[in-house]
Amino acid sequence: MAKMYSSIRNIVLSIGCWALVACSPTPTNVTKVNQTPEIYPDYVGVTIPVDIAPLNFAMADDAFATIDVEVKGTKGGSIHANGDYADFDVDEWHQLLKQNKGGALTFAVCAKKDGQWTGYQEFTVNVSDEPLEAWGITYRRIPPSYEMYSKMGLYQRNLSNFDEEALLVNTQTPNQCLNCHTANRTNPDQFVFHVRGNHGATAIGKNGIELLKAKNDSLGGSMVYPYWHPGGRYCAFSTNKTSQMFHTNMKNKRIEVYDSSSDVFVYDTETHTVLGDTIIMKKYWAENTPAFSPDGKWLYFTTAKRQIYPTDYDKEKYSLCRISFDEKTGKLGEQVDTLQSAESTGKSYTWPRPSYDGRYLMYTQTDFGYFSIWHPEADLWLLDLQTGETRPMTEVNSERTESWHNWNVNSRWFLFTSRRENGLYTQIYLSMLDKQGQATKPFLLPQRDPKRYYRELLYSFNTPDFTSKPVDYDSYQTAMKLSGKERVATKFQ
Amino acid sequence: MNVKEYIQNNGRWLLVAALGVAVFCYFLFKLPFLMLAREQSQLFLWNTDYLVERLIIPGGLAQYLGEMIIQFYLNPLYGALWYGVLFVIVQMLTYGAFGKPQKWYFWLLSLVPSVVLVYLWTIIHFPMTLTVAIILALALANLVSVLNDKAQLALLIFLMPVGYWLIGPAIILAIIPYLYNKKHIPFVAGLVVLLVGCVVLSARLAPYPLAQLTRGVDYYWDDKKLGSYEEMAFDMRIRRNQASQQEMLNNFSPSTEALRSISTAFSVSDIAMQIGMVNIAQRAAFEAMEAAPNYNKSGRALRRLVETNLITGQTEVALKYIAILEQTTFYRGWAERMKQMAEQPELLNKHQYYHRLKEIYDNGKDVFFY
Repeated sequence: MAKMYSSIRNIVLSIGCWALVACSPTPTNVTKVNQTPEIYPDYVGVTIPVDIAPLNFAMADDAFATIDVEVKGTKGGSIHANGDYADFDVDEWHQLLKQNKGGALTFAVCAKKDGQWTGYQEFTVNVSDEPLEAWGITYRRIPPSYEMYSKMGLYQRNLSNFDEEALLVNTQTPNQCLNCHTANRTNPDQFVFHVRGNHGATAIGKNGIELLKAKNDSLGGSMVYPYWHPGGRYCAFSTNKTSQMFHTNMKNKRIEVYDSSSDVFVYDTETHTVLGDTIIMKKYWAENTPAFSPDGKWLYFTTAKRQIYPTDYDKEKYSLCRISFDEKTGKLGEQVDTLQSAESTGKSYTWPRPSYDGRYLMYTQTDFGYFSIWHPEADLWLLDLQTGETRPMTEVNSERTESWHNWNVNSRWFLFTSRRENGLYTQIYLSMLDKQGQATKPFLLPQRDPKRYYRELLYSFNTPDFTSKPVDYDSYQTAMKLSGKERVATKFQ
Repeated sequence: MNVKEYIQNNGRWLLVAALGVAVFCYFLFKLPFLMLAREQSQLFLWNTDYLVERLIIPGGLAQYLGEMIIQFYLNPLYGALWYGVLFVIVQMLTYGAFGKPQKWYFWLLSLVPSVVLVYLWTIIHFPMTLTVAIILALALANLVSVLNDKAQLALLIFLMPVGYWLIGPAIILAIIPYLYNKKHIPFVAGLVVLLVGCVVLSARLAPYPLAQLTRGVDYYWDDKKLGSYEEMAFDMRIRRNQASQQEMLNNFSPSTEALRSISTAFSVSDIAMQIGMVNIAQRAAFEAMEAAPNYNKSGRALRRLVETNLITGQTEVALKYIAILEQTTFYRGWAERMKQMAEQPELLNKHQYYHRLKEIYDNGKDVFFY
């Protein structure tokens, strides 16, 4: 469907555009200025992987009618773009990047406004020699809504070009919500996602699609935030009773999402058993957001003493903890280690995401609560598991929400969502972590015409993750199966 | 020719015209709120993406043209005019598709589709897509009727897949003239099988269940959130400043239950703005927009969200919505004026209404609502 969309769109555009392209003016009588151009997206000084899609961009100021860009590689090669935005040929771009792997690209930009050309100082984009080792990314796209939601879907996007494909959209599953698409360490051969609604299910993709009953009566709720064990047999989930409250007069805050209760458990996909353990299902405590360590020996999770809502909503603060896990027996350890104590710091921690090389743990810190996307103060932090030091990732954080981060399989690249642009619509950014543990300037997910695309998009990107290869499953058959009655019941132990 | 002779010679068409005027009057004076309710559940944009998003779905062209018509319903006078004109067009096309029968009782039958459509127009669950699809299918039937046998069959074989994709299952109506010859019955059966095959195959291409594709993706909205006549009428009275303060307060509740329909959500938004509860107005408008039955957005909601985002200081969000409204026909001018306010905040402070709301928002105590 996405390919059909692209094809039809390209046909329609090319009918009108070929003449315009031929007529785009080239720079003459250029006035040089001693500053880099203000472009959208801001790709000045970013570091990119060699197989990323072209960094198309436009002048940030709408008054500029035409842009002319010459890109040269420090190791050779050049490409050129001219038009109302810089639209680089995909093949030429990739050729240039390959040629300049480990080097840099310099961008010479001229732009025309009110009939006058201005030439800007060149800027640089670094081409990393660290491989991305990912075909693309997956995400959910959904409006940043309150209780009602319109169109939403799970999508995959090829990072080498602009191709996006719907994995499942809710037009196929009327009156249902789709969420939490999660692969096992970026390998989509194992994945899980939820379908919420009257005829819901938890879909486990592992040698075919298996639909679990949406709720387990012993559990008292649904399986919610998932994270695969690297071995592939187990998957950790939370189970949450989630509610929303809406602010009347809070600056920059519309919604507070909270859980009246939550627990964490491990699910055995082979025996269809929920392995409940009171150590992570404590009464009066809200356990949440589980994640396994890359060696599978630890289960990270967050936990907070339950508060009374709405009066004490800002007192619910989650600590970051971990407990050992024995893959052979499926049992948890007996001692919980606290890595970041909410009581000590007065802050709240959520979404632990260990790097797959075992070195770091990235998480989100907020003032309270766990549903960080509605917290403008939410920032990414990085815990060095070797030294125990933790720090805010100031090189990627902004004044607005950063959250929902994930690593690529070699743990050199990571992505996250941010509301830095306008405080409401979430976008995906990518960055690289160098060997010193410093992140590069994040860059916005490339689009063919990014200014028009992001300006007109009325959807947010949600829970993105890398995928090492295209997710290969039959959307039509999955939707048919979801509309059927077959569901596998889970046991509770 | 005197008047009596004129009426005798052209009585049928005068009757159709008179019925068209009656339809116009009916909708304008009895159901203006219905037309406003239709318009507020969509956002017609003049850009390529909007068109392409529709063309990639079966029936998308009919949906696009239907939404193009509905944008005029922001003014019920234009909406009623459209209904009157469409009534006449459908009758004329039906008459042509049936071979322009001369007998008066056959001629009367040509009024049936128009009358049925008038009934469907009073039910908000039927969007304009079905009407446009029927019109286009009947127009194609008229084209079929002037061709010879072989050309008719060739055209219909082409139209079943292409027409289905452009206007939906209503393309079957294009077969009408071909039915007059009994020798064509086996070919008609084949055309029906071809159409059924297209529908089944489209379930593999378009992200919709087969049942919805069969009845037409956007021919009918099976949605409980569309609201009742009473809710729509009350919403219209608020929009026109015809509701009393007491009525508005009696009908105001910021709870989820109160946002049960699109019209009540918009009413809550309007009332909340009048009493200075900007965040509630914002939420209600957003919920109304997200409740639009065919996943459309809403020009009316975006307009409200521009206001609330400017007042609450989320200027970049307001500018996003303004950029979208600038691509509409009837919200463009307002959006351009609001853009000035977004780019020059001092204008907002000088605006008596918005400045007052901003003061209430900035200085009010924060509480939660559900």
